[in-house]
Amino acid sequence: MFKLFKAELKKIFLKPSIFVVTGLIIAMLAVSTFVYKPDTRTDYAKSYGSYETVNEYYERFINTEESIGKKRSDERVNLAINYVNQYANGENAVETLINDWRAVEALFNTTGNSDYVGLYSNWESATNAAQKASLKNDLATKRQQLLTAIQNFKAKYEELSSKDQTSFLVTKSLDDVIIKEHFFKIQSIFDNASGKTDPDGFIINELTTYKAFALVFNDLNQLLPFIPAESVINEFKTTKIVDEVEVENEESPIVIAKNKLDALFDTIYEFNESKKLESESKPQDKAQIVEYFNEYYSISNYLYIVVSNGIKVSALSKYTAMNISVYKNYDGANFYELKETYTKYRFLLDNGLYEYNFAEPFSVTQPSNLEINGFDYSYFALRLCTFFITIYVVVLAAGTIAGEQSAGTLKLLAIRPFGRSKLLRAKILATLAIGAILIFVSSLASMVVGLVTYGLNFTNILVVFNASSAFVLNPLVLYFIAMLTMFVEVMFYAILSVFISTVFKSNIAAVAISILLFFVSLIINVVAVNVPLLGLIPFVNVNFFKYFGSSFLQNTGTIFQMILTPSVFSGSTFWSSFILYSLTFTIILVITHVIFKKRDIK
Amino acid sequence: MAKFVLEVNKLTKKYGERAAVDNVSFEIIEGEIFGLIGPNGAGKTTIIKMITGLATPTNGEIYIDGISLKKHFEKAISRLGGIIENPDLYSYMTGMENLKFFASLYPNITQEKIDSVVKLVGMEKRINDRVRNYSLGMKQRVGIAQALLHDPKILILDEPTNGLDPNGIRDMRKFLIGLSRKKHISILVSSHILSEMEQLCDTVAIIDGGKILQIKTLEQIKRGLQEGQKVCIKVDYPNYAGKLVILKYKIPVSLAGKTIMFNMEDSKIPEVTTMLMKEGISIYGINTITKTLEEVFTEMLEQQHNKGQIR
Ligand SMILES: Nc1ncnc2c1ncn2[C@@H]1O[C@H](COP(=O)(O)OP(=O)(O)O)[C@@H](O)[C@H]1O
Ligand SMILES: [Mg+2]
Repeated sequence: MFKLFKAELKKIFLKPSIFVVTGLIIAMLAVSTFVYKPDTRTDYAKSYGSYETVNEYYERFINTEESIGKKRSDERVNLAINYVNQYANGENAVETLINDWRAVEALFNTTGNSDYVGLYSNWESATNAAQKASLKNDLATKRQQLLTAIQNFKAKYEELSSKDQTSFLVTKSLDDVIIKEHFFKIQSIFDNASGKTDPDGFIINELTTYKAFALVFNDLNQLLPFIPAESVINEFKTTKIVDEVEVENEESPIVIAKNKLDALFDTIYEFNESKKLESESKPQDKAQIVEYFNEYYSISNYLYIVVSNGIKVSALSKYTAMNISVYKNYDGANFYELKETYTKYRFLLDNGLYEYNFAEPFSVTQPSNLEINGFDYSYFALRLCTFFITIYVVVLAAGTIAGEQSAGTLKLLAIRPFGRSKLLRAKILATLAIGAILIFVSSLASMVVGLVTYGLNFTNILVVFNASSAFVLNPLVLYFIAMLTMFVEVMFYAILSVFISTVFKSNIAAVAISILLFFVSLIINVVAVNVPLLGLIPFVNVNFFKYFGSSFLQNTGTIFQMILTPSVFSGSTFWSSFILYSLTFTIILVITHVIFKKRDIK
Repeated sequence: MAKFVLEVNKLTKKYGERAAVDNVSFEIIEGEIFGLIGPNGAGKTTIIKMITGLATPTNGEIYIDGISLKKHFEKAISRLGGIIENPDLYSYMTGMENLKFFASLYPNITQEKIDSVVKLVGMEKRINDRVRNYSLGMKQRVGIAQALLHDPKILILDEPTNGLDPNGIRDMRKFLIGLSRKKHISILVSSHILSEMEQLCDTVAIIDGGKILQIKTLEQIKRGLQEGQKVCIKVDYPNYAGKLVILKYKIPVSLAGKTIMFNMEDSKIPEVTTMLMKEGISIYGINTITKTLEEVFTEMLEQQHNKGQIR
C-alpha cells in the first residue's frame, strides 16, 4: 500500500493546482507582514514611579491609596477572606435578599388575592359612604405596604447584583410565574372596572395608582428570572472550594498567600532598613525593591482571583452550560474561561511564580511577549495559510474519489493489485500527507520570515491545558502543538470531503459542503460562543489549540481576529471535543470505507 | 487440459430486478483473441467490469489464470490489464508520466520496460506531450501501453475501435493480432460491430440482452456462412433443371426467370453442374451469393427478439 500512497502523493505534485496553492501561501506570507498588527499586550508588572532612593519607593508602597500599594493589597486579601467567610458562615446578603422576596410574595398573595380581587364586589356592595371610605383607606394602606416592600427589595437586589460576586448565586425560579399571574389578574379586574359606574372616581383613582405601582413591578419583572434559589446557597455552603480556601486550613491558598505576604513584607522592610540612609540608591537596588512590590501586589491579586473564580467555578460546576448562560450578569459567562483563569492563578500562587516572567500562548489578538516576536508573526501567518490549505485539501480530497470517478481514472486504479480498502486508505493518507507537508512548509517559511523581521523570543510560555492543568512550555514546543492542532483541523475537513465525495459521487458537492461547513464553523465561533448547544456540533470542535490557554482572548479584538481565534464553548472541555471529534471522524471514515468497498465503479 | 487464462462461470449481474448479464459462461485460452459482440446495451461492459473487479457479480465466478477473483483479488487482478469503456488517463500529465505512475504501482517495472511498451504501441514521438493534447487514437495506444506494463496474461479492451477512423481500426487490428502472436497474450475485446471483429478474433461470443446467444470459432463462422450460401445457375430449361435438383438433393429450389436458386456449399457445385449437363441442360452462368457475417448476426438477433416477443 505504501507504493500506492507514494504514487498518489506524487500524482498530487504533478497537478497544476499545487503551484497555485504554493503561490497563495507565499502571497499569504507577504500579506501577513502587512496585516499583522496585534493589540499591545498589558504589562502585568506594575510601575512604582521613579525615585532617587529605595526609601522613597518604600514610602510610596506603604502610603499610596492606589491598587499597587500595600494597603490595597492587604485589603484584597481581607476581601478574599470575607468573601469566603460570607459563604462559609451561612448568613449572607443573598439569604437576606431571599427573605425580603418572600415577604413581598406573602404580601402579594394576601393583597392580590383577597383584597384586590375582591375590590370591585366589595365596592359595589358597600352601602354607605363610611363603608366606602374605610374600604378605600384599607386598600390604600395595603397598596402602600406592598409598594414599599417591592421597592425595598428592588433596591437591595440591585445593590447586590451590581457586585459581580454574588449574582452568580441567583438562579431561575418558578416563583416569578405565580407573581406574574397575580399581576395580570388584578390588571384585568381594573380594566373591567373602569367601564362601570364610578361616581366618586375611586376605581379610576385606584387604577392610576396601581398602574404606577405596576411600572415598578414591571421593572422588577426583568429581574424575576433571576430570583435567588435557596437550594443554590445551601448546596454552595458545602462545596469543596469553600473547604479548600477555609481560612483555618493549612493548605488553603489564603493561608499560603498570607504567609508569603508576611515573609515578603519582612524582606521588604529589612531591605529598606539596610538602604534607608542612602541619599542615592543603586539602580539594581531600586529595581530589586520594585520587584518585591510587584510580587507583593501579584500575590494579593492572584489570591483574590483564585478565591473569587474558585468559588464561582465550584458553584457553577453543578449547572449545565445552558443554566449558567441565563444567570443574570452571567449571560456572557463562559465556564471554561472562569476555570482557566482560576487554574492559571492557582498555579502561579502555589508555585510562587509571577505572570510577568512568562509569555502568553500564541494568538492573533496580542503578542505573546510585550514585543512582537517571530513566533507571533509565524503563528498568525500559519493561521491564515491554514485557510488556503484547508480549502486546497478539501478540493483534493473531493477530487481523489468523485473527481477521478467522473474522469474515469478511478477505474484504472481499481484494477491494480490493491483492494478497495487499500486504495481508499492510500488516497486519504496521500491527501492528509499533503496537508501536513503544506502546514509544515508554511510554518517553516513563516518562521524564517518571522525570524528575519522580528527575531525570535524564547521566553517560556505559561500554558493552561483544558482549563485544568498549567504548564510552562518552550515556545517552540507550543508552536509545534499549534501546527499539530491546525493539521487536526485540516484533517477533519479532508475526511469530510472524502466522505461527501464518496457518498454523493459529486466533486462539487463535496467541495461546496465541506467549505461551507468550514466557514459556518468560523462564524459560529465568533457569534455564538456562549450558546452551549452549538458546542455540540462536531465541525465547530475541530480546532484544539483553544484548549491551550488562550480562551481568555476569545471574542476580543476585531472581527478578523475573532474569526482567526478558535473559541471554547461554555460547556466544552478538551475531552468532550476530543470524543466528539474522534467519534465523528471514525463514523465518517467507516461509512466511507463501507460504501467505497461495496460500490461498483462506473 | 489447457489451462484457461480467463474462465467465467455462470456470471449474472442484476440491477434491481433486471439482469444486465444473465448466466454467462465462457473460457479464454492462452493466446486466444476472444470477441464479445453485441449491440449497445447488450451487457458487454457489465461483463468486463465484473471481470476487472469494478463491479461485483450478483452470481457466478471469475477465474483469472486459474485464480479466483473473489477470493484472491490482488493476485488475480495482477494478471490482467485493460481499458474499460474509454481510454481515460490523467490529462494533466504527459503520456510518460501516466505510464510511470501506473508502473510505480507494480514491483520492479524498469524504465526500459516502459520504453519498450511505448515502442510497442508506437508512441515514441508524442509520449512526452500532455495527454490533453492527444487524439483519441493516441490515448487508445497509451491506454494499451499502461495495460501492458506489468506483462498481464490477459488484455481486456472494451470497444477499442470506438471512435477510430477506418485506418485507425485497421492499425488497431493489426497491432492486436501482432501482440497476441508475438507475446502469446490473450485478448478479450468487445465491440458492437461484427465486421470489425471478424478478422481479429479467434472466437466470438454473440451476446444480447445479457445472454450469450452463440460462441463460435472463426472456422465455425466461416463454415456457417458457406452453409448459408445461395447458388444461382442460369439454364435454358429452368423448370426441368429445378426438378432435377429437388429430386436429387431434397432441397427447396426457387426460380427467377431462367435462373434456379438453392442453398449449397461450394464443394458440391461441380457435382450439380455435371449432373445437369448430363441431362442435356445448357448452363449459361453460375453465381454464388454469400450472406455477410453482418446479415447472419442481424438474423440471429432478430430470431432472439422474436422468441422474446412470443414468450
Ligand atoms: N449501474 C447500472 N444500473 C442500472 N442498469 C445498468 C447499469 N449499468 C448498466 N446498466 C444496464 O445494463 C445493460 C448493459 O449495459 P452495458 O454493459 O453497458 O452494455 P454494453 O456495454 O454492451 O453496451 C444496459 O441495459 C444498461 O442500461
Ligand atoms: Mg459498453
